[in-house]
Parts: sequence; C-alpha cells; structure tokens
Amino acid sequence: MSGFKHTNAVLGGFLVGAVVLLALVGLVYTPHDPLEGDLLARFSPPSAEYWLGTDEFGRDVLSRLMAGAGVSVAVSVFSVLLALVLGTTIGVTAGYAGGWVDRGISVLVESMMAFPGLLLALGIMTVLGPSKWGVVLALGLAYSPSVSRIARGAALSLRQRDFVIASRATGHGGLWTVFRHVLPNCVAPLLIFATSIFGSALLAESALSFLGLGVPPPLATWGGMLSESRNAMDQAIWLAVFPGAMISLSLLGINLLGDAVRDRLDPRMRGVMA
Amino acid sequence: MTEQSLRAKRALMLSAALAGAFTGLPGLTQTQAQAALPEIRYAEGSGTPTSLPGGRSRNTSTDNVLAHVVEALVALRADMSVAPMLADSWALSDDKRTYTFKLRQGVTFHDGSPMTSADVKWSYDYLTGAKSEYSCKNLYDGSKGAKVVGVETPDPATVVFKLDQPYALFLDQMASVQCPMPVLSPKSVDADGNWVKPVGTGPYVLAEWKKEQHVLLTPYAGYAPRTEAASGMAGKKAALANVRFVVIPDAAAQKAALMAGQVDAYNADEDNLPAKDPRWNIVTEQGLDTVNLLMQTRSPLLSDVNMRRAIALALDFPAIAKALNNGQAAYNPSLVPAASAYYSDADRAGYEKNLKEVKRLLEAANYRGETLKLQANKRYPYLYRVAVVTQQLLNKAGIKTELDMLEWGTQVTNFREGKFQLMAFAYSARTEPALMFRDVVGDKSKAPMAQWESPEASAILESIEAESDPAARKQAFDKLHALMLRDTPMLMYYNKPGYVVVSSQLHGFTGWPLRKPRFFNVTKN
Amino acid sequence: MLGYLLKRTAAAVPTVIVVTVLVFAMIRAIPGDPASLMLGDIDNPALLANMRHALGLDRPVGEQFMIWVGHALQGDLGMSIARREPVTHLVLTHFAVTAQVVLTATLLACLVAVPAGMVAAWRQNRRADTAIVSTSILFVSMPSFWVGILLIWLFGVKLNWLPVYGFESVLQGGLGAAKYLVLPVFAIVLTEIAAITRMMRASTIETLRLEYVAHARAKGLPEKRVMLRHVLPNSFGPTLTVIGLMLGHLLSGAAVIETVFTLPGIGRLLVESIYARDYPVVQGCLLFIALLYVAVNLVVDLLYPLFDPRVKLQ
Repeated sequence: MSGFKHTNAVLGGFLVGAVVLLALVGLVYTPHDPLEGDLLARFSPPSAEYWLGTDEFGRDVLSRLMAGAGVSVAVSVFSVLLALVLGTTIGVTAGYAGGWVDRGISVLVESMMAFPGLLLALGIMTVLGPSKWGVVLALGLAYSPSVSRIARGAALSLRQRDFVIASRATGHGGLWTVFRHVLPNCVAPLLIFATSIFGSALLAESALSFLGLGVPPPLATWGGMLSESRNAMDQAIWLAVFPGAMISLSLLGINLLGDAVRDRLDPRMRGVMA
Repeated sequence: MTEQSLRAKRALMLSAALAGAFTGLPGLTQTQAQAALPEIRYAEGSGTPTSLPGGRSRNTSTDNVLAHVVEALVALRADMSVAPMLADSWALSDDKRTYTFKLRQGVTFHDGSPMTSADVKWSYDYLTGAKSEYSCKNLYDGSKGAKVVGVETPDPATVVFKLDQPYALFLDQMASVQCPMPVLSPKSVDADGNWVKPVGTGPYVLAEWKKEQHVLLTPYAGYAPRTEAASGMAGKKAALANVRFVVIPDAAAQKAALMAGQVDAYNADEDNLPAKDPRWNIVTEQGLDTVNLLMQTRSPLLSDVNMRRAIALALDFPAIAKALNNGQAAYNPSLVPAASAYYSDADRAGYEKNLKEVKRLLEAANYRGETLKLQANKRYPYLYRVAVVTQQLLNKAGIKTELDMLEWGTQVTNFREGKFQLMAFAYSARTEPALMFRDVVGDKSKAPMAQWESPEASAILESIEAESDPAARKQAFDKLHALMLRDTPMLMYYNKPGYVVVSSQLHGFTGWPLRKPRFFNVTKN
Repeated sequence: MLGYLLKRTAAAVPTVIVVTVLVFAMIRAIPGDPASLMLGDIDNPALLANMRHALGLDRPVGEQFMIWVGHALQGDLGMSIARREPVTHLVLTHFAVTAQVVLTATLLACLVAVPAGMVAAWRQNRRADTAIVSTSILFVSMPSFWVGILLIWLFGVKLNWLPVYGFESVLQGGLGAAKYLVLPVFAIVLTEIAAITRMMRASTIETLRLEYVAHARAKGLPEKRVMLRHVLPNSFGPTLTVIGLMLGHLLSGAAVIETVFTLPGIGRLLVESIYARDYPVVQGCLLFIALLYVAVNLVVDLLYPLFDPRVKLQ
C-alpha cells in the first residue's frame, strides 16, 4: 500500500478502535452517571468536573457519549449481522431455486426497497414501542434487500457452474451444496458490502434517535443527544458539537477502515480507493 | 353519501371555517388604513394534528385565531368566571331550566349588518343541526349535561334557551374558548347552505389565510368594545394593530425566530425559553393543565391502597414541582387548579415524603420487589422529565420502577383503554373543577378512561349538577379532594405553567390561565 | 424503446401493489386511530363513534382497502383527516418543497463532484488526489443533520443572516425565496459531493486503465479531449446509478433534514401523519414514494446505455 493509503488505514483502525474501546469502558465505568443528573448543574459548560459539559438534566455529556458509544456500536453490529443473515438466506434461496420462487421473492424484495427505511422503522417502533432491538430489527430489515440482491447474484452465477451440477448429480442435497459451494462464494462481495453499510447503519441509528424513534431515553444515544441539543442552541452549543463530532469521527474511522478492507479484498478495486 | 356532499359536510365544522373556502378570497384586500397599522407577529404552532394536553379535537391554533374573530353571548374572565359579551345580562328561571338573555345593543357583524336574536338562533341551529359536523355540538344534545330543548326569540333583543334539566355549567359551556358557541351571521353561508367564511362580531376580521404559512387579521372598524375592564376573553377588547399568526410548527424554530426579531411573541415551554435579554420579556401564566401520575387501580399490585399511598409518600412533590419548573410552579395536590377561584387552603392538603412510612406501607401491601412500568413519551418534554424524576425517586425508595417509553399516539390509546400500570400524563385545561372531576370519576368497566371509582364521589358530583351557588360548589369540591386524599387513585404534581416570550416592542400583552394568546389592547412600537 | 418502457412499467406494478397493501395493513396495525387521537383525553363516546363512522373506520379493513383503491385509480387519494385537505394536493405541494431542496443540492453536487472525481483520478496518488480524497472522506462522514444544526446556529442564531424556519417556493417567491434554500442545500450538498466524488474517482480510474484510453492517447489526441470525450461518458455510468440511488433516497423523505430546518416537505408530512394516524395521507405518500422510486430507477436504467454502450436495454 502506498504511504497515504497506509496512513489512512491506520487512522481508520485507530478511530474505530478508540470508539470500540470507549464503548467497552463505558459499560463498566463512566466519570458520572449517564442517566442521572444534578439538576443544579444544568447546562454547565465544559469544566474540570464535567469535561464536556452537562445537558438539561445536569447529566455529564462525556459519560453519556461513552454510554451512547456502546449503544451505537451494538446496534450497528447487530443490525448488519441481521441484514447479512436475513438477506443472504433470501437471496441465495431466490438465486438457487430460480423459477417462480425467484420471481416471487424478487417482487417482495423490490417492494421492500421502495419502502423508505425510515417508514419501516417508524412502523416497527410504533408497534413495538421504541426499543434497542426494535431499531436492530428495523435496520436489519431495511438493509436485507440490498444484501439479498448481492447474494442472489452470487448464487445465480454459480447455479450453472460445473461443480454445482456435479455436486447435485452425485446426490448431495441442495442445502449441502449451498453451504459448501454457494455461500463461500458470497462471502467476498458481502463482506465488501457490509463494510459500506456499517457506516450507514450507524448514521441511520443516529437519525432515528434524532427523530425520537430510536433507542428510547433515558438511555443515551448520540442521535438523541443531538436532537435534545436543538432547544438549547443559544445557551449550550457544546451539546450539539460533541455528539455530532463523535458520530463523524466514528463514521470517518469506519469509512477509512472500510476502504482499506475493500482495497484488500476486491481485486477490481485494488488501487482505486486510496 | 356522495363525495361532494361529504366534503360540504366537513366544511361545516367551525374549525373547518378556516379550512373551508378561504382559498382565493375575492375582494378582501388590505385597505390603506390597515396597511398603516403596525403588525404583531405571533408564532403559531399549528401542524401538530393530534390533540395536545391543552387543546381538543380542533387545532389549538384554530381556537386562537377564532377567539379574535367571533364572540358568544358570554365570555370567560381570567378567573374563569362567566362575564357578559354579546348578552348584557341574563336571568335564570325559578325551575333553573330557562335562561333569558338580553342582547347588547348596537352590535354589528363584520359586513355591517346588525346582530339580532334571530342571528343567535340561526347560529345555534346551524352549529348544532343534524347536518352540522361541529365537534362540540353534543354538549347541547343531552349526551353530556343538559339538553337544549328550544331556542326562542320573543323580540330582536332577547333570546331564550330552554333546557330539559337544570345544569349549573350551561353558561361556562357557552363561554368556552375550546368549544365556543359563537354568534355568526347567516351570511357565513351561501345560498346553497355551503360554508363561505365566518362572519362574526369580534374586533378582528380574517383578512388573509395562506395555509401552513400565516393567517392575517385586521381590525374591524365597526367594533364597539365593551366598557368593563379587560379580563380573560371578557371586557374591553380594542384592536390596535394588525395581527399575523405565522405558522412555525417547531418549538426550537419559534424561539430562533423571536430571537432574530422575525416574530414578536410565541408560546414557550421550559425547554425553549431564551436567556434574559432586554429585547424580550417572559410572561409566566399559571395554567390549568394538571400534570399527573396515573395509577391503574384495577391492576393487581396497585389495587391495594397501601401500595398507592407508598408511591405517593415516596415522592417529594414540592421539590419536583419547583425543580422542574425553575420555581414557576408549586405543588398542587388537588384537581382544582391553583388559578381557579375555587382554590383554597383545603386544596393545599397533600402528601409529604416519608420513606419510613413507605416501608411500612410496602409491607402492608405485600410488595415483593415486583417491577412497576411507568409509561411516558418523549414528545412532551415536561412529561418525560416528570417521568424520569419519578422513576428515580421511586427506585430510591425501594419501589422498583422502569420507564416504558411509548410513542404519543400509542400512549393516548393506552390511556383511553386503561392499559397501563403507571403513566405520566397531563389533563388538558377544564375551566370548571366539576368538568375535571366528572372526567376522572366513573366506573372503569363502563368508562375505561375514568381514574377513580367511587360511588361517594359520584354522588357528590351529582348533587351539584344543578347547583349554581359558588359556596355550595366549593364545599363539594373540598369534600371531593378530601376523599381523593383518602383513596389515592391518582397523584397530582402541579399545574403546568405557561410562558409567553414577548418582544419588548409589544405593549399591553398579558397572560391568563387558559393560555390562549390575546392581542386585544396590545400595541407595537 | 417503447416496448422496454411498457415492460418495465408492467414489471413495476406488482411492486407498487405489494407496497400499498403493506402500508395499508401496517398503519392500521399500529395502536390508536385518528378519531381517538383527536379526542385525546376527552371522554365522549357518542362523538367518537360519529367521527369513526364519518371516516369509514368502522368498516372491515378489506372493504376500506377496496374503497381506497377504487378512488385512487380515479386519481382521488381522499382527504387528510387531520388537515382536512385533499391528499393529492398535500402530497404534491410537500413534495415540491423536498424536490426543490434535493434537486438543487444534487445538481450543485454533480457540478462540483464530477470534475473533482475526474481530476482526482487523473492525478491519482498525487497531491491533488490526496487532498480531494481526504476532503471527501471527511465530508462523507459528517451527518447532514449535524451540519444542518451547526449551520443554523452559525448563520441563523449567531449571525442572523439567514432565516431559520419556514419555506417559500422559488416558483412563487422568485429569487428572494432562495434564501430559504441556502442552509438546507448546504447541509445536504457536502455529503453528496463527497459520495459522488468518490464514486466518480473510482470509476474514472477503472476507465483510465482500459485499452481504448491508452489507444486514444497513443493516437496523439489532446489529453483534455481524451478525458472529456472518451473517459467521462464511460465512467459516468456507475456514478449515475449512485446518483439515482441517492435521489431516490432523498426524495422519498429527507425527514431528518426537513425536521432540522422545519421545511414542509414530504418526509415530515409522512412522519407527522403517522404520529397522527392520518391514514389517507400516509397511504397517499407511500404510494407516491413507491411510484417515484420506480420512476427514478427507470430513468437511470434508460440513461445508462447512453454512457456505457456495453450495457443494453433488455
């Protein structure tokens, strides 16, 4: 890798690592209680005691950012995982089975893609009530159609290949063939795709929290903190600066790292993304 | 029913007066005199179509605008008592079923035609008629309160309303701001009976309405204000400037707009008050909305009064009320609002935090550490804050409580169906305590929205149905409050204060408990 | 060509139907109905029953669906329950707002990003490339709603140069109304520029490797001509797909940006209508969005062969 690419990859790794570390540390220790605040210390600017200031309840912003890191990381990871599992299952089924199964599934997948992800999340949230797992479900469902398309493409391209036909001919069941031959072929493109939707998932979770549809309060989330900051813009702009900066830095890390991973994995892309 | 007639029906609703055919008003342009007047700009939060605590089935903003344009026979003063408006006086018959109103002389509608008793009757028939979709009309058909059996006009200056039974709150109802019974001119509809626009008697005329953008009111030159001092919606109402209701649905945007000088006033919550500055003042209004903790008395744990009392004594109500409102509101244990004329020392009796007693009560209730779910929402930040603080205090007292965050629509549905254990909820303003008690007391199997099942309380309420004497009513309210403290069906925190942030360029603006903005008697530099 | 259009349209029909059915069912599965929400804490069973009947909510869901479909096919999407206005009018006027912001932003983004991406690829791994790549990655990582909030604070609250709320259509207000577009467009455009630049750069690099480019250079053609006439058209294809995806995504509801800037766009209309259980509006919006999505996809697919002759319409 060139020097620039190398720096970027390292920087990306560093940022992502830092966020994950923050999340892990936040699970066991935060400077103050992220859920309970000192009502007398509302809207304090950054100081020695509250490094990044406090919010409308007097809660420490740094502690909430750390708690929020855990939520954001967990939700992103799980929703991408869900999308991968769900999408691959659907896509491989469609691509491998072919015929009207394929066509039926394709119509459903198309419809899901036409459905704005936000509305899906809204719908799920209003039925289930705002919850962490609701967000995971909503985001997972929203990304599965794209995943399924990739998986389907991979499965389709393999269906006619010799070793698959041979495998069937020798009496191996469809399922076995799928696991042995089709799935491994999907891994590379799926992994590449996953690195690009990781950032999307993080951003989407922030957006949902911002709209009040994400992980419910009083749990801290970066998007929720941004949303609450709007009312206090004139007195406490730090409430908007820090959560947004955290989201940006995390996304930056994910994007840098993702580029590096893609650079490695995708021969076509080699040398393309810096 | 054809689509067309359905649409015509819809347009009949008073709230749809605005939604009706105000598009493309021919000929209603601003005159030169109006253009020379200063313009007061008020940020109106329309765009939230659900019913907020504080509003009803119409848009709150429709009420705000119409309050300047139309008038009823009577109006509410700042202490919620009933004052004359289009009627100068009234008399109640001995059997308390007949109200005879003497109309004010010299009142004209916006088109110049004089108001007579025939117009009062016409308005009433139009708004409560079979074809009308006015959402308030069943206040007059007996389903809630008395039924109006007849409206007579013995002469152009007298109107007689006949009820089927005595009903002490009849005048309060007519004066209501949320559900007015205005006097409109028959010119408000066209020859085919389709709604055109509200031709009323108020000090302002609707000059321009751009949907989702603004409503412009200009003074009605032919308005003759009453001579009594201004109070609430009653008394002298002089129109001294143009008024523009600017639609800004977002609270943060309203604040930014005022600070930037783009509007002159907006209604605020604790969350979006600006810092002190010579360019504006903050008017605090003691409100009538009650902020409450509802407890489902039919659920296993909470059916035991010991459990409910334990919850009550675990909370430091005065501290909560003060802290969450920056000292602008105080603990009010009673359903009678602190701003009401009926409020007195008897209503100040409430609960005092006592953690030792909580322990004893929890024992008596056989509390084994079960987790209670407290329903709340993020849409109304003050309810959210109350819920957060309540949850923290309950947990500290040993009562395990978890927040169950819901979307507002879901929470309202749960409230209406009684599907909750604990709920942070606010009741919208009622102008008379009996109206509040009436909605809270009831049989839950028939009315799931009732909170307090008490035959004793129901009996007391019935006994004052026909009782107009304030002293007798006060006694009843005191008794009800004492019963409530004994039964502890629900808990009251405070009456939600309102704030209006007003530019220093406006003079004469005052607040009042019902919190609807009034621009009568207000001038601008 | 016509045949292709018809075929694609026909293929889109099942999608639209499925979306419609899903939305219809989903919105009614959510607890609460518009009538009870409007009443709130008011207890008035007679009124509630009347309202429900007037809105047709007391009929079986299947029947409600058929009635709605019947009207929709005639172009009548019904009346908004909360706002008492025809849904079609609501959807179109709100969409116009979203479209103005999104299309302006996308156009500006393309004008900047396409050349930037090409320059970066042309000067690959040199300083210009590094600068462009670094800036792109930075911008693409900044959430547009965060940028929006900071912009409002800086230009609205602190400097008071631009309005922080409201919207006036440029069609009605002319150039003066453009001031409402500045901040929202700025917020979106940064991310868009970054994403398009990255895509453009990647596909340009790929194109530059192709034989025919070397061939053109060997023929002695001026570099500028090579870039503009040979490279640009062929590398624009994948970028077009990305743009189409972005457009579809943004147009169907930039709800977040619209919330930040209080723009009366279709995203906010949808969100607010769901909160209010305003069924006709939700259904109308979703139908419109589904059709829009199909249309954008179709346009992208139609334009693609213009740029990449290897791809044929099937």
